[in-house]
Amino acid sequence: MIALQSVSIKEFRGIRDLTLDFKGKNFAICGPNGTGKSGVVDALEFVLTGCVSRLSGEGRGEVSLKAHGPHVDKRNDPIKAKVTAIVEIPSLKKTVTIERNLKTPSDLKVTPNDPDVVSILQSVEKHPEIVLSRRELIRYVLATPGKRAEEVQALLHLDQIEKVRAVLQKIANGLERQLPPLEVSFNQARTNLMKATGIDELTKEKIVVAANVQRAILGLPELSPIDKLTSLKDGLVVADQKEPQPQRVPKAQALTDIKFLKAVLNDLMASDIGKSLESVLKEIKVLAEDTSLLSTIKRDSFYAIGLEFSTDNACPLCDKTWDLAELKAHIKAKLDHSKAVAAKRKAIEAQLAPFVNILRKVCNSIAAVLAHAVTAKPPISTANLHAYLAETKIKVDEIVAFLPIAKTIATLGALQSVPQPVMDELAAFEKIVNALPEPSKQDAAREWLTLAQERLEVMRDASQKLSAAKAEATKAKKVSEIYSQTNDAVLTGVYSAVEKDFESLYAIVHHDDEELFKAKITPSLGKLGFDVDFYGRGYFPPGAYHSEGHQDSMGLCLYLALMRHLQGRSFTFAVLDDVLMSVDIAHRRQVCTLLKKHFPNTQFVITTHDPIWLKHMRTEQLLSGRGSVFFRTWDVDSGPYQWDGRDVWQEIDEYLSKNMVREAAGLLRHYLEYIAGELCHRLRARVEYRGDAQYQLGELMPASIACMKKLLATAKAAANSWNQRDIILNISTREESFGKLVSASNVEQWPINAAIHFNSWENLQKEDFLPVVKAFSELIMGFKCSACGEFFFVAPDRESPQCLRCECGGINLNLLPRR
Amino acid sequence: MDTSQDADQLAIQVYQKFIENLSAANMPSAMVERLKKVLLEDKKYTEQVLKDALLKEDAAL
Repeated sequence: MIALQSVSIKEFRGIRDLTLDFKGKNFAICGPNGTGKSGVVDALEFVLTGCVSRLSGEGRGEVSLKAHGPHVDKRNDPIKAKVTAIVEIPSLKKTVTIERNLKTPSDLKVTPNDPDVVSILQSVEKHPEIVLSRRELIRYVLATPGKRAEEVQALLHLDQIEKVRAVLQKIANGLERQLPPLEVSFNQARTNLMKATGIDELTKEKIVVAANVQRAILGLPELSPIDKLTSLKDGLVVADQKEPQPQRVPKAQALTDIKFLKAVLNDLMASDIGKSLESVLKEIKVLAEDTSLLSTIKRDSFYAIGLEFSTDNACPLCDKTWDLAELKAHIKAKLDHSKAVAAKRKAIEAQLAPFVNILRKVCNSIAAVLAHAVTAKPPISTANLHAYLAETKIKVDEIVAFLPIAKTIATLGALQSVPQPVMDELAAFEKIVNALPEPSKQDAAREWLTLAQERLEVMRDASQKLSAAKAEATKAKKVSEIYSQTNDAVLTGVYSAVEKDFESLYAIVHHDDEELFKAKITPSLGKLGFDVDFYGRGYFPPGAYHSEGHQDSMGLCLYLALMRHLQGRSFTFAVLDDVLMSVDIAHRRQVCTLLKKHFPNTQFVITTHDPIWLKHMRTEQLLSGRGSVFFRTWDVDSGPYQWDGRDVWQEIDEYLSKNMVREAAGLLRHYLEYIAGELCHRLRARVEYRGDAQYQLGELMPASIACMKKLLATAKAAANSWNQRDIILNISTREESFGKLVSASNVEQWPINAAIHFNSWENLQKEDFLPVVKAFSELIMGFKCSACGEFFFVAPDRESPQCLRCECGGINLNLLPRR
Repeated sequence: MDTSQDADQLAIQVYQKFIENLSAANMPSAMVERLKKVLLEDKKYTEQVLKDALLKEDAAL
């Protein structure tokens, strides 16, 4: 899709002004921790996507792109913080300049601004996954199946499919949650009907038999089997010619209902309920004491609604202008954080359900008793029962609402206390009912039929509501299941292709120890299982037995397989930010081979703090001659400092202009240590091996000079054997000039003359040190091609040396004599 | 290859297959039609829209 030619970064993160020339090829950024590597990574991500994942998403707290993207000294001037890149678009055969600044991150300036170019750049913008850090890599490997599915689906841009699955499941769960209160109502209505009719098993036949006994007393015709429209008291007014009687308390039924209410209240006050209550209260109190958790719970639904309403480049609440993607990521991060908290709340709510049920039972039972009390003559006081009923209903609502949590705690704390006046009132009413005269047979039959019909209707209504809710819940559940199954079936095909590619990529890196490596990537109900073979002993999670190094390799290979599947031939650019920290040397070499051979059309920008890894990338030819930069240090005023000759000499001059010889000497020595190591590596010089890789300048510089001299001598001897007079002359000239440079530097005198040894530099006067600087500046040039400015190197980098050459081929001296 | 289009095509493939599977499972045809419209034509995936598509008919009853 794109290749990056160069990037210019100004006042962005820890960088003041830096230009890197990628030339559309692989590029490495090496340097110790805190030297500005990540600033470059952030700048690349920013210019291509308008975002910096390090400054947004989960766990970023109050850090944000706009506030913390600019250099700390330009935080109030975000327009100065900008990144410019020259990008090649091979498919269009065009090269364009793109630029973003932190004042308007979503505004990409493209020159030339052709629609076809813009279309491709917009497509790139949708892929923040072109930047892979170790943190993200581990997410694919060690995450839980649910989290991994989210990460991988986001990477594959399948999050919309997942969102539909989650919404359908949420609807099904919501409908399922509506069932318990409806079931309680229905069961209560059944119980009330059974109590009113005195039958022990609620069947149509038994109701008919019981009703017909009462109807016979009143001379009413028998009912045939009942259906949903049958009235048990059918014909009661017509057949029973007596004047309408004033409504009275049905003694038997009222006593049954009072007895039942007392039993329910006793259940509520029982000690086993108290113990369960104590346990759940303890958990809720822990939650309440964590103000951060509590605040998250409160904000959870607010965020969810906010995300839904975030459709424009502005906050839906305060209308403040935002970049839409940044706004969504911001809200999503908050929601992600609250997921664990939501799960905790759900678990506690499940424990609260039995208490809610018993309170609902209390409400129903009081209502049944109050329905009798209202017909008492003379009227009796039920104020306390009414108040307790209202109070209990509020308790139910408060516990179900859960928030405010202090209210829930208080409600649960007082859950078992039934006010004495309530009990007294109930006892008084029971006494009144007991004192009522026994009704005549006819009156009793009339009361029986009236109350039974009333309660039958309540039960029928409850049953209808429950059935409708059950039908909805069943349907929604089935739809949700069918969606999940469909999703899994389609995604299984996708993941199967990724799985095979992942296996083959990993087997390339670990061909020495896991050539027959196998993996299983299995989607299921919104989760993504990832198990890997462990030396033929079975499949296990990646973190179970494999080392961290192996896990890093797995993460990288899974990422590459996913990207290849996602982007296919368009996978032309990726930034790997310190992703192989735990991988050993041998396997890093294999990673180089993998990237070079299997992703030849992808430009990788790789960061590392390990100079050895940088050298591997060069020797494996993943990087070309100038395909890297080495940051030596960083400071807040200037940003990263490179081990670049021009910068170093200029910096030394600046020190000397201020008469700071000690600083200039220190810098020269460190630069020469770095460059001498580089020269020894390139020229394949012999240096006494040190296991700790801590080489001194006194070991490296003479070795590189000796090696260069030997190589020139070998090349001259070879040219002589081939009778190449011109080349012999050329080499002789080069030998002579190089010899003069070496003499001027006094390097060969170091071991025998302490006065000119590099350890003495910092004690020199400025006038005495200036010639030293000049000598070494010229000596270093002696190792370079004057045409391309690159250091010479010996090829190949292993086995017998065949030539001494430079990057452009302007110098290419044969080292093999005629046989 | 336009990658986002690939993801879109995969989503459409999932939605189409889902609608087929709903019909094959003898789910109410009116509901299936409503879901088809929401997912494949209107391309709206909010909870309220999907809930309406699932339950609208029954709620009216």
